[in-house]
Amino acid sequence: MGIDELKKDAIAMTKWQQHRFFTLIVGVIIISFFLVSVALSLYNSSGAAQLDLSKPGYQDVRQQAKRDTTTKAYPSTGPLDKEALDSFAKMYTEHTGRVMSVDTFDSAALSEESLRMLNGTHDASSAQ
Amino acid sequence: MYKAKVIAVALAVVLSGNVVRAEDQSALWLTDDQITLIRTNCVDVQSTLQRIHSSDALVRVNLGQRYETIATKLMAPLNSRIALNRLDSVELTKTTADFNEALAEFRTLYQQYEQTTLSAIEMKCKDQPVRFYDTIALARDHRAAVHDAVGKLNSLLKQYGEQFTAFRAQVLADRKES
Repeated sequence: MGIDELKKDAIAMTKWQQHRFFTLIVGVIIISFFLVSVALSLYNSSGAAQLDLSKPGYQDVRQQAKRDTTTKAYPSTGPLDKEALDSFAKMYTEHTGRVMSVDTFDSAALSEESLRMLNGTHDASSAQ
Repeated sequence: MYKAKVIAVALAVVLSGNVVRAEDQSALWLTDDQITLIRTNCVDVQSTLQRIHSSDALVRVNLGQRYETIATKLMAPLNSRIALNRLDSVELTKTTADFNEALAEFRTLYQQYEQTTLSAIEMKCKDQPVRFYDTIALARDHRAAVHDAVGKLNSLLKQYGEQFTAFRAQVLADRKES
């Protein structure tokens, strides 16, 4: 096929046929933008964003996060004799002790005394 | 038609009135000096908030994981085992359901708190000191709600423990009798 024939074919092409590769690239980019925006909105709305310690602001605390892969589940089958009940009591006391021993999310961390936002004057509520 | 218009206008006035009051609440409370102080201190406050935000994320991850472990690896299997042994565990099952519900609420409340704190951290606080102050006040409320949710979860854990102790005593007493 000579160059003249190719030129003739190109002239005979419709606009769509001439730009189909460009259209394909633009289409792929639009679809990928759409899919990424869906993924990001799911990431934010599902609560995964709050658990993601790989974000830049969490370098200091990342190492302290503990992945609990060692805890064995209490067997869901078997007889309920004294041994089985004692075993559960031991596991339950151990696990609940870890969460109940610490006071988390106390209000003092965000208090005016802690943040010292109005440092040097009266508290905002007293200035009414 | 005329009635509908009047109602629509009245509704708009009432709603806009509420919004204005809510936005201006702090502006009424804060003096000019205090607004200046907020503007001066806010970058340091944002830095403190950033540290709190990081440590809270760690607490959320570890605490959430522990609660999940208790719910899925201890409570649910015990309830199944009791049911398979054809024993009565209505109270334990109910407490487990309440615990799972409280855990879902904890997740939602923490998400709300985290987003409010993050908006305070990312805010241009020197340009919007009153809005910054209001956002921190809101974050305080959301943090208190998360604290309450943790308290509720812990009280449900305590309740489940007490119910299990009573159940255990009952089962062992029945075994002795038979």
